[in-house]
Amino acid sequence: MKLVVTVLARDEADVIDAHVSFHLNAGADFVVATDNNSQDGTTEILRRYEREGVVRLIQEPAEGLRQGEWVTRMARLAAAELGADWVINADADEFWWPRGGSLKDVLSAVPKRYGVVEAFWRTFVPRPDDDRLFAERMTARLTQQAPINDPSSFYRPVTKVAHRADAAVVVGRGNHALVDSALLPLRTWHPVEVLHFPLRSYAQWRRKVELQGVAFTEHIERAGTGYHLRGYDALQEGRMEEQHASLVVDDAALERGLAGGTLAEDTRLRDALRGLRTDDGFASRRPLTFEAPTVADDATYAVEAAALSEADVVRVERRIDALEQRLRTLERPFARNPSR
Amino acid sequence: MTLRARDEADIVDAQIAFHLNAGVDVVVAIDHSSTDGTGEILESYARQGYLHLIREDAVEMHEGEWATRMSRLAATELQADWIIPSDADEFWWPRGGSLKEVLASIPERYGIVRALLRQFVPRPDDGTFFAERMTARVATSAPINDPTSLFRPNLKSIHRADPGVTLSAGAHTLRDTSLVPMRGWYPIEFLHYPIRSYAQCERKYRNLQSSLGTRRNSYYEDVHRALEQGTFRELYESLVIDDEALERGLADGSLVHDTRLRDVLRSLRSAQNGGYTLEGIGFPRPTVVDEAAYAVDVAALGEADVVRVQRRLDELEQRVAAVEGGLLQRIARRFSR
Repeated sequence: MKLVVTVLARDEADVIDAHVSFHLNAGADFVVATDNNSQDGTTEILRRYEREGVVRLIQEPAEGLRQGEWVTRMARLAAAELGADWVINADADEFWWPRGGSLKDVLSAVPKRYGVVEAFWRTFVPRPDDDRLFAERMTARLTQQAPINDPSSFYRPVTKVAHRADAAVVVGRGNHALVDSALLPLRTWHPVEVLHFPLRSYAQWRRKVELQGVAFTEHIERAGTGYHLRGYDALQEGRMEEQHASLVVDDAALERGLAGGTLAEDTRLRDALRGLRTDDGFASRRPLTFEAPTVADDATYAVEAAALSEADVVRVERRIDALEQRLRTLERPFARNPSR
Repeated sequence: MTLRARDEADIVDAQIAFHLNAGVDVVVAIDHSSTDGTGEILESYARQGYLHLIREDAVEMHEGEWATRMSRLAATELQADWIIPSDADEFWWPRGGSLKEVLASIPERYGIVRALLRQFVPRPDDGTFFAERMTARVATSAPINDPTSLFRPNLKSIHRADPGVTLSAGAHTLRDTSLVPMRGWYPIEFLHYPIRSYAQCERKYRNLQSSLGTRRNSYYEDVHRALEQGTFRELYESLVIDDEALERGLADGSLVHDTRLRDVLRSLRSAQNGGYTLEGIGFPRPTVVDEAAYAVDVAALGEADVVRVQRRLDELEQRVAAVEGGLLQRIARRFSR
């Protein structure tokens, strides 16, 4: 069984070294990376892994953040040229954490008829920046006792997909699903958690908002989603620092969250990365071991993962609302009973 | 904001001042036969240009009809973008910035935002202002299944302006509307103070005796009986949460301490004349920690209900079948000509 991780990166120097090292040691055989015009040292880090023969680097000079297209290209390459059995389409700020064994063990256990595994996105909250590595500071994670269904929040419960390699696959925007795929998704079992660190420092957040803002205003026809727009509005109005501060969870809020159970202390990534540190970065071959969860861990996890289904029901309800409105306009002229 | 008020002099000044500070541009109010000074308070806001006043002297209250009339007026004559259908004892609390900021951030495809009820419990009356005393509310997680209970979890709809809008009898929802509700999330809470003192409560229920007409549920039947039989004082006392009950409720999690309104109203009090200032309130933007705790509250409403989804799909299927049938009939008619 061969596992390939793909990653699309643009200016992710604060996280990309840890990202590649982690996945190579968590069970991935190989990483395909697309570097989209990075200016901050990301390219050099990826080149180092490329020289070691563990990364295939694609340079993508185009603007416009055509994520779906570029991720699809990598996923197909993994299937067609690299002989992958499974492909994980990751973002640079994600760490795919197997619940026991390794990523390879977990995916090998999936019955043949299923081709897609939905990994549970676990978002870590931003913490004050004291220049240490993000994983040293960001050790609090949202527990999701209940779904945050605010359509403009980036804390909505979502899944990301890993799929059996397919040379004709189309990966949907955001890597949340495949498009028109015959691969059958395995629902409600989430054997992989995606530890997600979207907001790590002021500089990183600002850069991200700038890049997405340019992409949405100059290159992409659809509007950005709520939190993109809020960030971009703040950037244009010169309120970026204030906006960033409003997102950061300070010590008082952390304490409240931990006491109330909405946040959990989660040092798994920090501890794993400490073990992978080298003098000048992170090791490419120092395999990690992932302890199998206890029954108590599994129970806690099941409760949190239930928020995914609840959020899905709300999404279905919203789709029904939209359908009802479309139907109303059809009913007017065609209904048998015009009084309706 | 539209406002229906009858004898609410102990709260209506604070209510209007709060909302003008919270982001409401103008109030449309119906004064229903008030005799306690409510009319004068409304008039003073009208004179300052903040309020459009309508007087209504009908015996029966037609809440939905009146809310509809005010909402249409706001849409047509006042060029409103969003409308909050309010009662005098409701305070609409934005989760972030101001009411305007929250509503401006709603994705365009949604025309209805539902607000989450926060029901404040009656506390012993020592003659002080209601917001100073009433600082405990019912937790949404408290298991109250009685559909006639004042304290059950509830939602109320705020909507985009629409000249053809019709509100339901209790003005809580919209009828037969093309506006789409945003489901599963409630970026505004409404803090509700229905029972504030014995005098206010007795007057309110005496008024309702005539104005409700025959539309009484079992709760109002009990109230009606108590008024008729002279046992209203006991009924009122049974609703009031004394210190001991408060302590118990806070300890078992059925009540929550909530001083938000008290604190805001204190900050709006003018030092000079004791009235309210209109300088605006900056509502705190909730952190992710607050939002996560709120999500737990919201989940208690049981909005994520697969059974209801299935019922809605059944209904949709029937409606699609009816449209298909109508379409076939048309085609058949055309061919038979």
